[in-house]
Amino acid sequence: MRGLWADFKNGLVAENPVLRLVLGMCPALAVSTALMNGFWMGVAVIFVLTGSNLLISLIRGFIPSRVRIPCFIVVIATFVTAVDLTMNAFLPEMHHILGIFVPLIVVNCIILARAEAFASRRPVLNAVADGLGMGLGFTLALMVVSAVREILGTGNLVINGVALFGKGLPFDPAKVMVLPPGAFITLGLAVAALNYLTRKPSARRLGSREEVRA
Amino acid sequence: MRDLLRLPLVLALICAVAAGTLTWVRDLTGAAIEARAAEALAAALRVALPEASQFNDRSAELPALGDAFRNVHEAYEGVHDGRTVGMVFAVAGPGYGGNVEVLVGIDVSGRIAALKVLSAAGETAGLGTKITEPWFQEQFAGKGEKPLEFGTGPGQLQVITGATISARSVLASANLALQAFKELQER
Repeated sequence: MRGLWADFKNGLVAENPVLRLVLGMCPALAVSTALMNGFWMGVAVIFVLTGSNLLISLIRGFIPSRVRIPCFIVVIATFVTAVDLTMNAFLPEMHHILGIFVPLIVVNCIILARAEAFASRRPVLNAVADGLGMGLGFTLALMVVSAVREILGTGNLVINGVALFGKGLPFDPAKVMVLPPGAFITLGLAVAALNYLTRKPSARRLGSREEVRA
Repeated sequence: MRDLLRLPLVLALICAVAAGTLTWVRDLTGAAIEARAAEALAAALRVALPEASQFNDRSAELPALGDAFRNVHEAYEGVHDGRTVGMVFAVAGPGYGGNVEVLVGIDVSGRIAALKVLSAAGETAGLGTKITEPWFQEQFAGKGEKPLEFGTGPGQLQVITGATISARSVLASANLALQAFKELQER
Protein backbone atom coordinates (compact mmCIF):
# COMPACT_ATOMS: atom_id res chain seq x y z
CA MET A 1 0.00 0.00 0.00
CA ARG A 2 2.91 2.31 0.65
CA GLY A 3 4.20 4.70 -1.95
CA LEU A 4 1.20 4.68 -4.30
CA TRP A 5 1.69 8.32 -5.12
CA ALA A 6 5.42 7.83 -5.61
CA ASP A 7 4.79 4.91 -7.98
CA PHE A 8 2.29 6.98 -9.94
CA LYS A 9 4.53 10.05 -10.14
CA ASN A 10 7.54 8.02 -11.20
CA GLY A 11 6.27 7.58 -14.76
CA LEU A 12 5.39 11.22 -15.29
CA VAL A 13 8.85 12.81 -15.18
CA ALA A 14 11.55 10.87 -13.32
CA GLU A 15 11.14 7.76 -15.49
CA ASN A 16 9.00 9.10 -18.29
CA PRO A 17 8.84 6.16 -20.72
CA VAL A 18 9.36 8.25 -23.86
CA LEU A 19 11.53 11.15 -22.73
CA ARG A 20 13.63 9.34 -20.09
CA LEU A 21 13.58 5.59 -20.74
CA VAL A 22 13.31 6.17 -24.51
CA LEU A 23 10.93 3.21 -24.86
CA GLY A 24 8.01 2.91 -27.27
CA MET A 25 9.78 4.97 -29.90
CA CYS A 26 7.93 3.37 -32.79
CA PRO A 27 4.48 4.83 -32.04
CA ALA A 28 5.99 7.94 -30.45
CA LEU A 29 7.72 8.88 -33.70
CA ALA A 30 5.12 7.60 -36.14
CA VAL A 31 1.76 8.83 -34.88
CA SER A 32 2.83 12.13 -33.30
CA THR A 33 1.86 14.18 -36.34
CA ALA A 34 -1.23 15.73 -34.78
CA LEU A 35 -2.29 16.38 -31.19
CA MET A 36 -5.41 14.23 -31.33
CA ASN A 37 -3.44 11.26 -32.71
CA GLY A 38 -1.01 11.53 -29.82
CA PHE A 39 -3.87 11.82 -27.34
CA TRP A 40 -5.80 8.75 -28.52
CA MET A 41 -2.65 6.66 -28.90
CA GLY A 42 -1.88 7.61 -25.30
CA VAL A 43 -5.37 6.67 -24.11
CA ALA A 44 -5.01 3.25 -25.75
CA VAL A 45 -1.65 2.73 -24.03
CA ILE A 46 -2.96 3.88 -20.63
CA PHE A 47 -5.77 1.34 -20.85
CA VAL A 48 -3.54 -1.54 -21.93
CA LEU A 49 -0.77 -0.72 -19.45
CA THR A 50 -3.07 -0.30 -16.46
CA GLY A 51 -5.12 -3.36 -17.37
CA SER A 52 -2.15 -5.63 -17.95
CA ASN A 53 -0.33 -4.36 -14.83
CA LEU A 54 -3.46 -5.02 -12.77
CA LEU A 55 -4.01 -8.52 -14.10
CA ILE A 56 -0.38 -9.57 -14.05
CA SER A 57 -0.01 -8.38 -10.49
CA LEU A 58 -3.16 -10.33 -9.54
CA ILE A 59 -1.97 -13.61 -11.04
CA ARG A 60 1.73 -13.16 -10.29
CA GLY A 61 1.70 -15.92 -7.68
CA PHE A 62 0.05 -18.30 -10.13
CA ILE A 63 2.40 -17.86 -13.10
CA PRO A 64 5.46 -20.16 -13.08
CA SER A 65 8.49 -17.97 -13.71
CA ARG A 66 9.70 -20.13 -16.61
CA VAL A 67 6.63 -19.37 -18.75
CA ARG A 68 6.05 -15.85 -17.46
CA ILE A 69 6.91 -14.06 -20.71
CA PRO A 70 4.38 -15.99 -22.85
CA CYS A 71 1.80 -15.46 -20.10
CA PHE A 72 2.48 -11.71 -20.04
CA ILE A 73 2.23 -11.51 -23.81
CA VAL A 74 -1.11 -13.32 -23.86
CA VAL A 75 -2.51 -10.97 -21.21
CA ILE A 76 -1.17 -7.89 -23.01
CA ALA A 77 -2.38 -9.08 -26.41
CA THR A 78 -5.86 -9.64 -24.99
CA PHE A 79 -6.08 -6.06 -23.75
CA VAL A 80 -4.67 -4.71 -27.00
CA THR A 81 -7.15 -6.66 -29.11
CA ALA A 82 -9.99 -5.42 -26.93
CA VAL A 83 -8.82 -1.81 -27.43
CA ASP A 84 -8.40 -2.35 -31.16
CA LEU A 85 -11.93 -3.75 -31.55
CA THR A 86 -13.44 -1.02 -29.38
CA MET A 87 -11.70 1.76 -31.31
CA ASN A 88 -12.75 0.17 -34.60
CA ALA A 89 -16.36 0.16 -33.42
CA PHE A 90 -16.64 3.56 -31.77
CA LEU A 91 -13.76 5.73 -33.06
CA PRO A 92 -13.46 4.47 -36.65
CA GLU A 93 -11.67 7.55 -37.99
CA MET A 94 -9.04 7.52 -35.27
CA HIS A 95 -8.70 3.76 -35.72
CA HIS A 96 -7.98 4.36 -39.39
CA ILE A 97 -5.34 7.03 -38.63
CA LEU A 98 -3.55 5.07 -35.90
CA GLY A 99 -3.80 1.96 -38.09
CA ILE A 100 -1.17 -0.65 -37.35
CA PHE A 101 0.15 1.18 -34.27
CA VAL A 102 -2.73 0.06 -32.06
CA PRO A 103 -2.14 -3.70 -32.64
CA LEU A 104 1.59 -3.00 -32.30
CA ILE A 105 1.08 -1.96 -28.66
CA VAL A 106 1.49 -5.71 -28.00
CA VAL A 107 5.19 -5.48 -28.76
CA ASN A 108 5.61 -2.04 -27.19
CA CYS A 109 8.53 -2.43 -24.82
CA ILE A 110 6.98 -0.11 -22.21
CA ILE A 111 4.19 -2.58 -21.53
CA LEU A 112 6.33 -5.70 -21.29
CA ALA A 113 8.99 -3.84 -19.33
CA ARG A 114 6.49 -2.69 -16.71
CA ALA A 115 4.96 -6.17 -16.51
CA GLU A 116 8.35 -7.80 -16.03
CA ALA A 117 10.07 -5.18 -13.89
CA PHE A 118 7.18 -3.92 -11.80
CA ALA A 119 3.76 -5.59 -11.94
CA SER A 120 5.04 -9.13 -11.52
CA ARG A 121 6.66 -8.31 -8.19
CA ARG A 122 4.43 -5.68 -6.55
CA PRO A 123 0.97 -5.55 -4.94
CA VAL A 124 -2.02 -4.83 -7.15
CA LEU A 125 -2.60 -1.20 -6.18
CA ASN A 126 1.04 -0.26 -6.74
CA ALA A 127 0.96 -1.99 -10.11
CA VAL A 128 -2.14 -0.01 -11.11
CA ALA A 129 -0.56 3.25 -9.92
CA ASP A 130 2.54 2.46 -11.95
CA GLY A 131 0.46 1.62 -15.04
CA LEU A 132 -1.52 4.84 -14.79
CA GLY A 133 1.59 6.95 -14.21
CA MET A 134 3.61 5.36 -17.00
CA GLY A 135 0.65 5.53 -19.37
CA LEU A 136 0.02 9.16 -18.53
CA GLY A 137 3.71 9.95 -18.94
CA PHE A 138 3.64 8.33 -22.37
CA THR A 139 0.49 10.28 -23.29
CA LEU A 140 1.86 13.63 -22.11
CA ALA A 141 5.14 13.12 -23.96
CA LEU A 142 3.28 12.18 -27.16
CA MET A 143 0.96 15.16 -26.81
CA VAL A 144 3.83 17.61 -26.36
CA VAL A 145 5.74 16.20 -29.34
CA SER A 146 2.65 16.01 -31.55
CA ALA A 147 1.41 19.49 -30.62
CA VAL A 148 4.79 21.01 -31.55
CA ARG A 149 4.88 19.06 -34.82
CA GLU A 150 1.31 19.93 -35.74
CA ILE A 151 1.75 23.66 -35.03
CA LEU A 152 5.05 23.98 -36.90
CA GLY A 153 4.13 21.57 -39.67
CA THR A 154 0.60 22.72 -40.47
CA GLY A 155 0.40 26.16 -38.85
CA ASN A 156 -2.62 25.12 -36.84
CA LEU A 157 -3.79 22.95 -33.96
CA VAL A 158 -6.94 20.87 -34.35
CA ILE A 159 -8.79 19.63 -31.27
CA ASN A 160 -11.87 17.48 -31.84
CA GLY A 161 -12.21 18.80 -35.39
CA VAL A 162 -12.01 22.46 -34.28
CA ALA A 163 -9.02 24.45 -35.54
CA LEU A 164 -7.71 26.56 -32.65
CA PHE A 165 -6.04 29.19 -34.81
CA GLY A 166 -8.81 29.74 -37.34
CA LYS A 167 -7.22 30.11 -40.73
CA GLY A 168 -3.80 29.20 -39.38
CA LEU A 169 -0.83 30.99 -37.85
CA PRO A 170 0.87 33.72 -39.87
CA PHE A 171 3.89 31.75 -41.03
CA ASP A 172 4.67 29.31 -43.77
CA PRO A 173 4.31 25.82 -42.23
CA ALA A 174 7.48 23.74 -42.37
CA LYS A 175 6.13 20.52 -43.85
CA VAL A 176 9.22 18.62 -42.72
CA MET A 177 7.88 18.79 -39.15
CA VAL A 178 4.99 16.42 -39.92
CA LEU A 179 7.29 14.14 -41.92
CA PRO A 180 9.55 11.56 -40.21
CA PRO A 181 12.61 13.88 -39.80
CA GLY A 182 10.43 16.31 -37.84
CA ALA A 183 9.63 13.52 -35.38
CA PHE A 184 13.30 12.92 -34.58
CA ILE A 185 14.09 16.63 -34.31
CA THR A 186 11.14 17.33 -31.99
CA LEU A 187 11.69 14.27 -29.84
CA GLY A 188 15.39 15.04 -29.43
CA LEU A 189 14.64 18.60 -28.37
CA ALA A 190 11.93 17.40 -25.98
CA VAL A 191 14.35 14.98 -24.29
CA ALA A 192 16.91 17.78 -23.99
CA ALA A 193 14.32 20.21 -22.62
CA LEU A 194 13.17 17.76 -19.95
CA ASN A 195 16.75 17.06 -18.90
CA TYR A 196 17.47 20.77 -18.66
CA LEU A 197 14.31 21.55 -16.68
CA THR A 198 14.84 18.76 -14.15
CA ARG A 199 18.47 19.56 -13.39
CA LYS A 200 19.33 20.72 -9.92
CA PRO A 201 19.06 24.51 -9.85
CA SER A 202 22.72 24.89 -8.89
CA ALA A 203 23.71 22.92 -11.99
CA ARG A 204 21.57 24.92 -14.38
CA ARG A 205 24.46 27.04 -15.60
CA LEU A 206 25.70 25.49 -18.82
CA GLY A 207 29.00 23.70 -18.54
CA SER A 208 28.81 23.40 -14.79
CA ARG A 209 31.23 20.73 -13.49
CA GLU A 210 28.81 19.79 -10.73
CA GLU A 211 26.44 18.32 -13.28
CA VAL A 212 29.01 16.01 -14.78
CA ARG A 213 29.87 14.46 -11.42
CA ALA A 214 26.23 14.20 -10.37
CA MET B 1 8.78 -33.73 -13.95
CA ARG B 2 5.82 -31.99 -12.38
CA ASP B 3 6.69 -28.88 -14.37
CA LEU B 4 6.24 -30.80 -17.60
CA LEU B 5 2.53 -30.81 -16.89
CA ARG B 6 2.19 -27.67 -14.86
CA LEU B 7 3.78 -25.17 -17.27
CA PRO B 8 1.65 -25.97 -20.35
CA LEU B 9 -1.47 -26.28 -18.20
CA VAL B 10 -1.05 -22.82 -16.70
CA LEU B 11 -0.34 -21.31 -20.09
CA ALA B 12 -3.30 -23.12 -21.66
CA LEU B 13 -5.58 -21.91 -18.90
CA ILE B 14 -4.49 -18.30 -19.39
CA CYS B 15 -4.97 -18.61 -23.15
CA ALA B 16 -8.43 -20.08 -22.67
CA VAL B 17 -9.49 -17.23 -20.41
CA ALA B 18 -8.06 -14.72 -22.91
CA ALA B 19 -9.93 -16.35 -25.79
CA GLY B 20 -13.15 -16.30 -23.81
CA THR B 21 -12.73 -12.62 -22.97
CA LEU B 22 -12.03 -11.70 -26.57
CA THR B 23 -15.07 -13.61 -27.79
CA TRP B 24 -17.15 -11.51 -25.43
CA VAL B 25 -15.55 -8.22 -26.60
CA ARG B 26 -16.00 -9.31 -30.21
CA ASP B 27 -19.71 -9.89 -29.56
CA LEU B 28 -20.03 -6.46 -27.98
CA THR B 29 -18.33 -4.58 -30.81
CA GLY B 30 -19.05 -6.79 -33.84
CA ALA B 31 -22.43 -5.26 -34.65
CA ALA B 32 -21.08 -1.69 -34.48
CA ILE B 33 -18.06 -2.54 -36.64
CA GLU B 34 -20.20 -4.21 -39.29
CA ALA B 35 -22.71 -1.36 -39.26
CA ARG B 36 -19.87 1.13 -39.79
CA ALA B 37 -18.44 -0.85 -42.67
CA ALA B 38 -21.86 -1.21 -44.30
CA GLU B 39 -22.52 2.50 -43.82
CA ALA B 40 -19.19 3.46 -45.38
CA LEU B 41 -19.87 1.15 -48.34
CA ALA B 42 -23.40 2.50 -48.84
CA ALA B 43 -22.13 6.10 -48.73
CA ALA B 44 -19.46 5.34 -51.35
CA LEU B 45 -22.00 3.54 -53.56
CA ARG B 46 -24.38 6.50 -53.36
CA VAL B 47 -21.60 8.81 -54.58
CA ALA B 48 -20.93 6.51 -57.54
CA LEU B 49 -24.61 6.17 -58.49
CA PRO B 50 -26.62 9.01 -56.92
CA GLU B 51 -29.86 7.97 -58.63
CA ALA B 52 -30.15 4.71 -56.70
CA SER B 53 -31.67 4.51 -53.25
CA GLN B 54 -30.86 0.86 -52.65
CA PHE B 55 -28.07 -1.49 -53.69
CA ASN B 56 -28.18 -5.24 -54.26
CA ASP B 57 -24.92 -7.14 -54.15
CA ARG B 58 -24.37 -9.00 -57.41
CA SER B 59 -20.66 -9.75 -56.93
CA ALA B 60 -21.43 -13.48 -57.11
CA GLU B 61 -22.03 -13.17 -60.87
CA LEU B 62 -18.57 -11.72 -61.56
CA PRO B 63 -16.49 -14.94 -61.71
CA ALA B 64 -18.68 -16.12 -64.62
CA LEU B 65 -17.36 -13.21 -66.74
CA GLY B 66 -13.98 -14.84 -66.98
CA ASP B 67 -10.39 -14.07 -66.19
CA ALA B 68 -10.29 -10.79 -68.15
CA PHE B 69 -12.51 -9.26 -65.48
CA ARG B 70 -10.66 -10.48 -62.43
CA ASN B 71 -9.80 -6.88 -61.42
CA VAL B 72 -13.51 -6.22 -60.99
CA HIS B 73 -14.07 -7.60 -57.54
CA GLU B 74 -17.48 -6.28 -56.53
CA ALA B 75 -20.69 -5.40 -58.36
CA TYR B 76 -23.86 -3.78 -57.06
CA GLU B 77 -27.14 -3.19 -58.78
CA GLY B 78 -28.63 0.21 -58.00
CA VAL B 79 -32.40 0.25 -57.53
CA HIS B 80 -34.84 3.12 -57.12
CA ASP B 81 -38.62 2.69 -56.77
CA GLY B 82 -38.32 -0.96 -57.70
CA ARG B 83 -36.55 -0.44 -61.01
CA THR B 84 -32.89 -0.82 -61.88
CA VAL B 85 -31.17 2.52 -62.41
CA GLY B 86 -27.63 1.25 -63.00
CA MET B 87 -24.73 -0.64 -61.57
CA VAL B 88 -21.66 0.12 -59.49
CA PHE B 89 -18.41 -1.79 -59.94
CA ALA B 90 -15.48 -1.88 -57.57
CA VAL B 91 -12.30 -2.26 -59.59
CA ALA B 92 -8.73 -2.64 -58.32
CA GLY B 93 -6.34 -1.87 -61.15
CA PRO B 94 -2.54 -1.95 -60.92
CA GLY B 95 -1.17 1.58 -60.44
CA TYR B 96 2.32 2.94 -59.94
CA GLY B 97 2.77 1.34 -56.52
CA GLY B 98 0.12 -1.23 -55.70
CA ASN B 99 -3.51 -1.24 -56.69
CA VAL B 100 -5.69 1.78 -57.27
CA GLU B 101 -9.22 1.14 -55.96
CA VAL B 102 -11.96 2.70 -58.03
CA LEU B 103 -15.75 2.67 -57.81
CA VAL B 104 -17.45 3.14 -61.19
CA GLY B 105 -21.17 3.89 -61.29
CA ILE B 106 -22.86 3.22 -64.63
CA ASP B 107 -26.44 4.22 -65.44
CA VAL B 108 -28.88 2.19 -67.55
CA SER B 109 -27.80 3.95 -70.78
CA GLY B 110 -24.32 2.52 -70.28
CA ARG B 111 -22.66 5.82 -69.41
CA ILE B 112 -20.62 6.58 -66.35
CA ALA B 113 -22.74 8.26 -63.66
CA ALA B 114 -19.78 9.00 -61.42
CA LEU B 115 -16.33 7.65 -60.78
CA LYS B 116 -14.76 7.63 -57.35
CA VAL B 117 -11.15 6.80 -56.53
CA LEU B 118 -11.33 5.02 -53.17
CA SER B 119 -7.66 4.46 -52.55
CA ALA B 120 -4.49 5.68 -54.20
CA ALA B 121 -2.24 4.99 -51.24
CA GLY B 122 0.59 3.53 -53.32
CA GLU B 123 0.77 6.39 -55.81
CA THR B 124 3.41 9.11 -55.66
CA ALA B 125 2.36 11.88 -53.26
CA GLY B 126 1.66 15.10 -55.12
CA LEU B 127 1.68 13.50 -58.58
CA GLY B 128 -0.09 10.15 -58.72
CA THR B 129 -2.39 11.13 -55.88
CA LYS B 130 -3.84 13.82 -58.16
CA ILE B 131 -6.18 11.11 -59.44
CA THR B 132 -8.14 11.66 -56.22
CA GLU B 133 -8.80 15.32 -57.11
CA PRO B 134 -12.40 16.14 -58.04
CA TRP B 135 -11.66 17.54 -61.52
CA PHE B 136 -10.00 14.32 -62.59
CA GLN B 137 -12.79 12.09 -61.33
CA GLU B 138 -15.62 14.36 -62.50
CA GLN B 139 -14.49 14.37 -66.12
CA PHE B 140 -15.51 10.71 -66.44
CA ALA B 141 -19.19 11.46 -65.75
CA GLY B 142 -21.41 11.09 -68.82
CA LYS B 143 -18.74 9.26 -70.84
CA GLY B 144 -18.89 5.69 -71.97
CA GLU B 145 -20.53 5.42 -75.41
CA LYS B 146 -17.28 4.14 -76.85
CA PRO B 147 -14.16 2.91 -75.02
CA LEU B 148 -12.57 5.74 -73.08
CA GLU B 149 -9.22 7.22 -73.98
CA PHE B 150 -7.22 10.28 -73.02
CA GLY B 151 -6.95 13.21 -75.44
CA THR B 152 -6.03 16.86 -75.61
CA GLY B 153 -9.07 18.40 -77.29
CA PRO B 154 -11.99 20.08 -75.55
CA GLY B 155 -14.37 17.63 -73.90
CA GLN B 156 -11.79 14.87 -74.00
CA LEU B 157 -10.45 13.14 -70.92
CA GLN B 158 -7.35 14.89 -69.61
CA VAL B 159 -4.39 12.82 -68.49
CA ILE B 160 -2.27 14.09 -65.57
CA THR B 161 1.23 15.29 -66.38
CA GLY B 162 3.77 13.26 -64.45
CA ALA B 163 1.20 10.71 -63.35
CA THR B 164 0.46 8.86 -66.57
CA ILE B 165 0.53 5.41 -64.98
CA SER B 166 -1.85 6.33 -62.17
CA ALA B 167 -4.25 8.09 -64.55
CA ARG B 168 -4.14 5.20 -67.04
CA SER B 169 -4.94 2.77 -64.25
CA VAL B 170 -8.15 4.68 -63.52
CA LEU B 171 -8.98 4.81 -67.23
CA ALA B 172 -8.41 1.07 -67.65
CA SER B 173 -10.58 0.34 -64.59
CA ALA B 174 -13.35 2.54 -65.99
CA ASN B 175 -13.22 0.73 -69.33
CA LEU B 176 -13.23 -2.63 -67.59
CA ALA B 177 -16.30 -1.62 -65.60
CA LEU B 178 -18.08 -0.47 -68.78
CA GLN B 179 -17.33 -3.81 -70.44
CA ALA B 180 -18.45 -5.74 -67.40
CA PHE B 181 -21.69 -3.75 -67.46
CA LYS B 182 -22.34 -4.73 -71.09
CA GLU B 183 -21.47 -8.35 -70.46
CA LEU B 184 -23.84 -8.55 -67.52
CA GLN B 185 -26.65 -6.92 -69.49
CA GLU B 186 -26.29 -9.34 -72.38
CA ARG B 187 -26.67 -12.29 -70.10
